[in-house]
Amino acid sequence: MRTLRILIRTFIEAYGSIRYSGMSNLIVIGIMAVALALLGGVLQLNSTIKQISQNMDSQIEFSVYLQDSAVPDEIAKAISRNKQVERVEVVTKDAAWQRFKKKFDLVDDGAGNPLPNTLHINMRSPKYVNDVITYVKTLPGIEQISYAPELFSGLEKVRSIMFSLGIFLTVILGFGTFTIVSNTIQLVIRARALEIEVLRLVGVDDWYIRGPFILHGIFYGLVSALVAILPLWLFQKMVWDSFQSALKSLMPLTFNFNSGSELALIFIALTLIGMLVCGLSSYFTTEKYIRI
Amino acid sequence: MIKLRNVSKLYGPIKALDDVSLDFSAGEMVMIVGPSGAGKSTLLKLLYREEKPSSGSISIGNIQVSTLSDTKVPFLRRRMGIIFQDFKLLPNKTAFENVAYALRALGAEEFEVERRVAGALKLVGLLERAHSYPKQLSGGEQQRVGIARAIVQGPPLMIADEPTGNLDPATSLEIFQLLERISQRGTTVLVCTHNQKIVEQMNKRVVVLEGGRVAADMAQPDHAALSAFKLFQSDIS
Repeated sequence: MRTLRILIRTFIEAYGSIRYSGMSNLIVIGIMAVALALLGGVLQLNSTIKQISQNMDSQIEFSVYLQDSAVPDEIAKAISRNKQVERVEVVTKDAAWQRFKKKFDLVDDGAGNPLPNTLHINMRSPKYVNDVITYVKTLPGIEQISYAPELFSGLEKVRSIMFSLGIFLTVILGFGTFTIVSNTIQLVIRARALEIEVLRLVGVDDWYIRGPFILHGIFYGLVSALVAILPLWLFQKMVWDSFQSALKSLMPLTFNFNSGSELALIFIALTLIGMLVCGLSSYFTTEKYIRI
Repeated sequence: MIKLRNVSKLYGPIKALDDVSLDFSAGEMVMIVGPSGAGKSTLLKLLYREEKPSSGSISIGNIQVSTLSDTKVPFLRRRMGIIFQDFKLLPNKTAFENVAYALRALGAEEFEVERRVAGALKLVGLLERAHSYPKQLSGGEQQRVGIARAIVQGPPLMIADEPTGNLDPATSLEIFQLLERISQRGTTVLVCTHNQKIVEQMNKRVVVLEGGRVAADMAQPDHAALSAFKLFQSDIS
C-alpha cells in the first residue's frame, strides 16, 4: 500500500511538473508530433508500397498484347501447351474495344480501333511466371507483355529513396526533440530546486524525486504520438485507401491489402518510440541535473 | 551514538576538517562554534552525507556513514532532521503542507500525516497557524515550521546549521529553547551557531572548531575561554 501511495503521489507531482511548464508543453508536443507524423508517414508509405510489391510478386496472371498480324488463337494454343499455364483467355481487339467504349461511355468517332488483340494468361503457380514470360517472348507476333512487377520496379526505387530520406529527417527531428524535451525538463528542475532539495534532505527515495520528471517526458511522447496519429489516420482513410481501391479497379489483379493491422502496428510503434525518446531525454536530464 | 574518528575533509588543497575525533551521546544537545571557515558546516554535511570524508570514519548508531552507499543515503536521512538558516520552506505550501510534504512523499497514510503534522506543529507552538503560508509568518515562525518538518518523523538526531542566523536575539533564544525541549525528549541535537550570548545562556556542551581542528570541547561554556577564541560576530551577539 505504501508503494501504491508513493506511486500515486509521483503521478500527482508529475502533473504539477506538467502544469508548471505551461506553453512550453505545446511547443515540445508540437515538434515531437511533427517528427512522429513524419516517421509515421514514411512507415505508412513503406508499408503500402511493400504490400503492393508483395501482391505483384505473388500474381499468377499476366497479359500479352499481340501484333495485328498475329493470329490470337494460334498463339493461345501454343501457350496453353505449357503445363504451368492453367488457362488462356483470348480478348480480340473488337471485343476489347467494345468493352472499353462501354466502360468509358465513348461514342465511336470512326477513327478506328487502337486496341490490340490480347491474351490474359492465368498460371497454376507464380513460381514459373518468369519462365513462361521468357517462352512467350520467343513466339512470333508478340507486341508487348504486361506483367505487374515490372510496372512496379520503379515504384520500389521511389519507396527506397523516400524511406531513406524520411528516416534521415526523422532522426534529425528526433535529436531536436530530445534536446528540447531535455531543456524543458531542465527548466522545471531548476524552478523546483527547493522542493528537490527538501525531498533529498528528508530522505525521500531517488526514484520518487526523479520519477515525476521522467513521467513528464513520457507524457510528452504519449501526447505527441496521439497528435501525430490523427493526421496519419485521416491520410490513410482519405488518400491511401482510395489509391488502393483505384489500383484494384485499374489492374487485372487480386490485391490483398491489410491496412488496418499495419496501421495499428505503426501507431503502436510511434507511441512507443515517442514515449521512449522523451522518457530517455528526461531520464538523462535528471541524471545530469538532480544530485541525490 | 555518533562517533567521528580522525575525520579529515579536503577541498582540493584546502583542509576544511583536519583529523577531527568527537563523540555525541543520545539525547545530548551540543553547540558547535567557530569562526567562518572553521569547518562547522562541513562537519554537519559529513553527518548527513551531503559530503564524504577524505579520510577517517563516521558512524551514527550502527550506520557507517563514511562507507554508506549512495542508494542508502535516503535511509540515513530519514533518521535525522535537518534545519537551515534560510528555513527552506516551500512558498506555495502552507505550514501544514510544508511539514506534511516529506511524510506524504515517504508514503505515509493520510490520517497518520494529519496526526503527526498536528503533533509537530503543536510542539513548536504553531498549530493555530497551520494554514498560513510562509510569507504570512514571521522569521521565527518560519523557522519553527522548519523545526516541525525536521521532527515530524521523530528522528533520533537533529542537525541545525545556523538556525537563528536570520533571527533577532529574542526569537533566537525561543528557537534554542525549543531545540532544548526536543533534546530533552531524547533527540540528539547538534547546532552550529555564531551567537555567543545564547551559547552561554543555554549552558550546554560546546565544541570549538578552528582551522578545521577541534580547538576546545567544553562540557559547559566558559565565558573567558570562549571570548579568548574570538569566535563570534559582535553584531549578532
